[in-house]
Amino acid sequence: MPYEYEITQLQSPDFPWQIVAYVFANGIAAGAFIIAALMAAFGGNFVKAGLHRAYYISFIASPICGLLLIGKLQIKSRFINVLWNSRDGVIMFNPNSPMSIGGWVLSVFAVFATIGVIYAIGKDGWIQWKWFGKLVTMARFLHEGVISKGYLLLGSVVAGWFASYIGILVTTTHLPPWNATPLIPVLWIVSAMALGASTVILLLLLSKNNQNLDLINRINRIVGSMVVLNIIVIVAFVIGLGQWSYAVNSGHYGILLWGVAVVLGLLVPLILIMKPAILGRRKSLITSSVLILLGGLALRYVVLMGPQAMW
Amino acid sequence: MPGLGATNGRGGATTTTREMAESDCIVIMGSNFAENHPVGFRFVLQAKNKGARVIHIDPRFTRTSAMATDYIPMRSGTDIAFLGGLIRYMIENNKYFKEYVVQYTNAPFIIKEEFADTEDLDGIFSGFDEQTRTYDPSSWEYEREEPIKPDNEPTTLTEKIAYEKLLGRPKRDDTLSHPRCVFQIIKKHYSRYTPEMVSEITGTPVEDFLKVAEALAENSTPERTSTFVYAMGWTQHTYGVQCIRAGAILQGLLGNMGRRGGGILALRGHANVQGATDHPTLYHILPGYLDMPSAEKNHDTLEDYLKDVTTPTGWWVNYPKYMVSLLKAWFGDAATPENDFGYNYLPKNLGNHSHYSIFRDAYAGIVKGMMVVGQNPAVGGQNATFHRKALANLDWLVVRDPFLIETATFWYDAPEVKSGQVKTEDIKTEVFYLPSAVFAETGGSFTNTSRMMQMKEKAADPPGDCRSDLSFTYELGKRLKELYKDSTLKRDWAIKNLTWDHYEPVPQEPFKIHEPNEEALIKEINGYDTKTGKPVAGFAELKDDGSTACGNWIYSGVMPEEGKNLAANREGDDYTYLNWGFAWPANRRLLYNRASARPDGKPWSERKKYVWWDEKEGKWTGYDIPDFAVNKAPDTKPKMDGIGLDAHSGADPFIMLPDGVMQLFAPLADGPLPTHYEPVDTPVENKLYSKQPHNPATLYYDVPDNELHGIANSDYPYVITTYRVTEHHLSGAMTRWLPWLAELMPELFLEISPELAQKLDLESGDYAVIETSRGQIEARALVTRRMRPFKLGDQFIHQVGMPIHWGYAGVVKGSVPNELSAIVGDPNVTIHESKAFTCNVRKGRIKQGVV
Amino acid sequence: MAQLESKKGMFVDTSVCTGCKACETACKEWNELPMNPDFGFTGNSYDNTGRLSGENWRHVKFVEDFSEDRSEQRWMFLSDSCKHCQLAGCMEVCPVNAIVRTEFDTVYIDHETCIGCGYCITGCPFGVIDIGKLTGTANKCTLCYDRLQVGQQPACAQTCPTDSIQFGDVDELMLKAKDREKFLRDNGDSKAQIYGDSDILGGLNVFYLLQDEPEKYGLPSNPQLPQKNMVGGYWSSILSFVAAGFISLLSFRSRRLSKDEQESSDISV
Repeated sequence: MPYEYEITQLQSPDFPWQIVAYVFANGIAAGAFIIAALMAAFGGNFVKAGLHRAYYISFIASPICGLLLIGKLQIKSRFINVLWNSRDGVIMFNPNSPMSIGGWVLSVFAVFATIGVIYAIGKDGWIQWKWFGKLVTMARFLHEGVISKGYLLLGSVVAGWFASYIGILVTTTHLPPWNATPLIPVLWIVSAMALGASTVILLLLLSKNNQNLDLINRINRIVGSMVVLNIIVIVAFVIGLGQWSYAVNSGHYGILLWGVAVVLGLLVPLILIMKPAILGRRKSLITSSVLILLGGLALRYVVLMGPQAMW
Repeated sequence: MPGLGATNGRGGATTTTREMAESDCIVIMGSNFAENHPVGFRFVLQAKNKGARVIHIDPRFTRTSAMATDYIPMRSGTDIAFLGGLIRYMIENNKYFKEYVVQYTNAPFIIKEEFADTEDLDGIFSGFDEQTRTYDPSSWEYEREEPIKPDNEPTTLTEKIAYEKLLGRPKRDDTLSHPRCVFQIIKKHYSRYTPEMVSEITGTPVEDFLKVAEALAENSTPERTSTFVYAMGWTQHTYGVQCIRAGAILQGLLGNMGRRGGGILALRGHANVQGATDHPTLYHILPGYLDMPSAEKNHDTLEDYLKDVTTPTGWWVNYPKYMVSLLKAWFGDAATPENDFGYNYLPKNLGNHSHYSIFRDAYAGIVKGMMVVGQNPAVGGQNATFHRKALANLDWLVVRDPFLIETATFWYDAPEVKSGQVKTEDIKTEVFYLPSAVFAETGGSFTNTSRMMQMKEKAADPPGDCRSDLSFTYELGKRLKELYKDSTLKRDWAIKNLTWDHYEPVPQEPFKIHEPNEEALIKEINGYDTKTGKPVAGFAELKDDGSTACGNWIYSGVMPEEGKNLAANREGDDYTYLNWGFAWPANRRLLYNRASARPDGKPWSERKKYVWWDEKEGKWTGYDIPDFAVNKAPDTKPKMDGIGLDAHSGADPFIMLPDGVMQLFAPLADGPLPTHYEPVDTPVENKLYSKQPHNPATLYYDVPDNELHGIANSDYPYVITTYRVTEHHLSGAMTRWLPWLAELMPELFLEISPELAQKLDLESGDYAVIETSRGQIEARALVTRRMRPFKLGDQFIHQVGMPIHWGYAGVVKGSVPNELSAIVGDPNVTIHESKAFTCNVRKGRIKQGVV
Repeated sequence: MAQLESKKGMFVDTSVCTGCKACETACKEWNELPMNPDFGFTGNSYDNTGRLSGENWRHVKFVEDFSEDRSEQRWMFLSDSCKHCQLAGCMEVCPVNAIVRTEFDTVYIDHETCIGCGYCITGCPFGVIDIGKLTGTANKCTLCYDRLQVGQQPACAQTCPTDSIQFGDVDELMLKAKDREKFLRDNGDSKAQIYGDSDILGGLNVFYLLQDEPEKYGLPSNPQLPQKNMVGGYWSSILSFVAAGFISLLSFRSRRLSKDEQESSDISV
């Protein structure tokens, strides 16, 4: 009855569902790229046949990301304004705006993903056109030549940036649950690795030929590490939220966060990774990978939509 | 406003909104100044910023209270008890302005021996007739000396009437000690209005009451002045006029009238209420506050009429000049001395034809047709359900309004039609709806609270066939004259001879729709010489022989020369801005401003200097136009056989009144002094007059479903008051249709204290049903500490309040609050009592459609 | 966008605001803003506008400050709008430079450029900006840029009947405000304070004289640019990227294979 106003009379940006799908897709794309690039470059001398197929995932996910991002805009026809300011006739780049940077990171990542997919196609020998061969040669040089380690590290950094920038973006706001901790980018990167790796596993499992058991196992170990890391980061994030934790803890957000993202999406896969015998090796791999993807989606939904729902 | 008129001589506000800024203490009582007059309120804030006290006395803590230096709570309807308490305080504590009171008021005058006070007769004055419930005021008159008649023969009609009516001088006692002098009568009348008694009646804590009394006393001296501001909170009671009188008496005792930063400001709720009253849209007066001829009195001929209404002393001696000039303006050459200037062709009143009487008569089938222009009685009238019943009994109804308001749609849209209690096919009224222009689509003028007429400019043509009121009236008149042009019936003389052609519209670039000739109209209002056709310079030039015509004498001087319209003046300055607009009378801003100087003509103080006598020039001068004969020296002696202003001395500031002084004691329909009465619906007994709880002269209406609750009715335990908010206007006819305003206050709400809300299990936003014996409505609860229970002795009284703006049509709709109130009337002006009645409140909603 | 000509702004003196909402209506009328799409009775004092939004560029707040026994009773009003900050968070985060500083030093949204991403909404510490339902672009007070260009003052300031909203050169207004603050403090209003001098986001071109702490009016006492948090976001990104990459490589390269993995030859089954 005392008529007052909350100090945080903030406005929700009303980011729509597309942003959840976007962060999900960009996590898969970036994670898959990092797994492929980093392991190729620094993963030791193991048989890595099939690892390059991760680039298909990055490549397919990139335009989906772009479309989702445009779909998120109120005036979709103006998406190009993010890269080119036609009013002032200059290239659009605002270093203070993680969203502006994000537009460029997406674009640069798309280049890496495209080169990656050319490399992958060349390796699988699907396209035999002459002119394409030249591209493959170039891509192969970048991926296997003398500068490959540097190139792949650079690609991984771009992918990492791509995975995390929406986290930096929401941290650079006034919504307290978003800016209370610097951990949302961490969530995204760790989760992206898990998602990317899981997707790669699914792809490899579903590939008709050339199932490299060792590779799958090794990638699955990455998943296991990332799952553990992810649980730790989520707990740290929620504790870090302090008084704002109800934004992700209350109502269906709480159920989605703890029930779906943590228990179903992380703890159950972790058990399956540690004890694959429960379901059998292949089923365990498939189940855990699918559950991780589901959990990752739930996590993104909770972290992005919960705080918005408060305003 | 007879309250101010009877006391000071003119019904208008004695001061201006601008003058508020000069005040040292502003008491806002019975008004929500900040909310309902937000533009004028800036001057209150200016005064506050100069250190003035701003005191708001009100049942609710409103946006005005929020801006005041002191908020004083008071139960609705107890204004006279509060003001009476202040009067007593000033007298008992010797805080009144002695020299002012003796010189400028009728305090020393001696009243007839027959007079008996309410203190003697337990609540009624002498002269009350139980049968008719009216007063015979003859016992309230002054004791007078023998009259001295002038020796010379009268040369004009004015002189003839004045000589005949001349009375002897009132007897007086300047020591104020005669037991029957007005001062002693007032002292005795209010002797029981002690702070403790005031607190028991009003619910105002004693210390709060004393805070007001002390602030007023401190700020009412030669060096300092206080102002009172009121609006509907004083007037809308069965003793509304006496509330104003009480304020006026207090201001007289404190010596604040006519002084810089002093006086009483009557706030008008529309841009042009003052103008509508002046010109007028009232049944009982003609333009310029001339009386409507009445069939109940001897008004058979012009002379009979003038003999009845003219006072021989004071300014009103000129009454015949204004009446004859008005008739000349209306009937032109057809008005001749031989036919009494057409006087006999004016209709005569048969009694009270005020709003409620008209609707009573419509319900009874006496009134057959009605034109409703700029009004929305289907939701705006008290006991709105009855109003709709009356409308349904008309043969025809014309509604002119910018929007399709409830009065035009009651026959298919009203709650009783929706619920099936009344069937549309049973309503035989033929309804014509004529869409009208809004203010920005017409030119013309407004006369504001400060009696100031200002021209306004048209911004755009109205859409389609919408027309301004002026245009419509002109066209209607033209058509009526055409219809009657061949009539030979005597009763049609007036309409045949009414001067009309000179209003013929003139082209107004760049507009396509042309308004009637405003300049011709203003010239006619100003007055002109009937021979030369030249405008008169002011009302002093008007004659009673038909050589001048004047449409409204109080506005005379607005166009002193052809084409020179003072109302169009737009030159400001830092104080009285005499070259901005035109304030009646004669562009005077502060009325009775002779009182701003001492009897000897010098200012009461340098600080409060306003109008004073310039010895060298031999005239009154100052910041304003003197409201006085400009060359009349302060030491001028009254002529014992004089008429008009000659009967006044050079120190009598209230020139309109017969004796030139303020009438603290003044006869009105319900007594010569304000007395505390409870409203007709009240939660408590009258603590002062047990036998006479209500105003004995109250007008009651015998109409269906109009039962009163009486005293302490346990079915209706809570006091309710109704009011307006800034966001809407009156019945909402101009605001509920405007999305930008509608959304600001989208639903009807009931303001309720947390104490009562808890008792009724209500929370903000809940629906509440509010019921009286007249009707039942629903509203959303707004629980707020701005509302509070009142402690009356050892009893607590809860009060609720709600705005009146809702109805069943428009962008936002809601229950009709005016269905709750009863039709009753103040005996002086027939104002209703919507500011204080009783109701019941409970949680819930009314059944859909059930009224 | 344009060469700075003058530094225009508004001084909102809450001590003379009567809460009449004329500014809200004038704003809507001039800017042709539609009715609130979800208008209705809020039950929150006399405030049925609720908040600033794409349809309400001005919002009068009603603060009822009453003690239980009503010995302390105040009803305070504040006409809120965009503050046209010197350090404007909205402008900082806009990815398309649609938010510009005009020649009057005001913050203006260029509706021809805005893509409606909604990011500026979160960049504002005062919750001023919102996506307009009609335009799809970010909307907020323009300080009546179109009126300023032809030498007029903003509609709200012109309408305000008590001069609670005063338009002019910020430096002059600030001097006026300081005088007024002193006057109120000298006259017993000890909590009177200016909100929006250079201590708040480098100075607010639309600033306030409050009668109590900013929190009472729902204003943050120490608002910041959103970029305050950006650096932390980058650091955490870099560290987590390094950590995650490193742990991934370690996991991948691990020599020790679990029993399960050694036995899991049935993978293709």
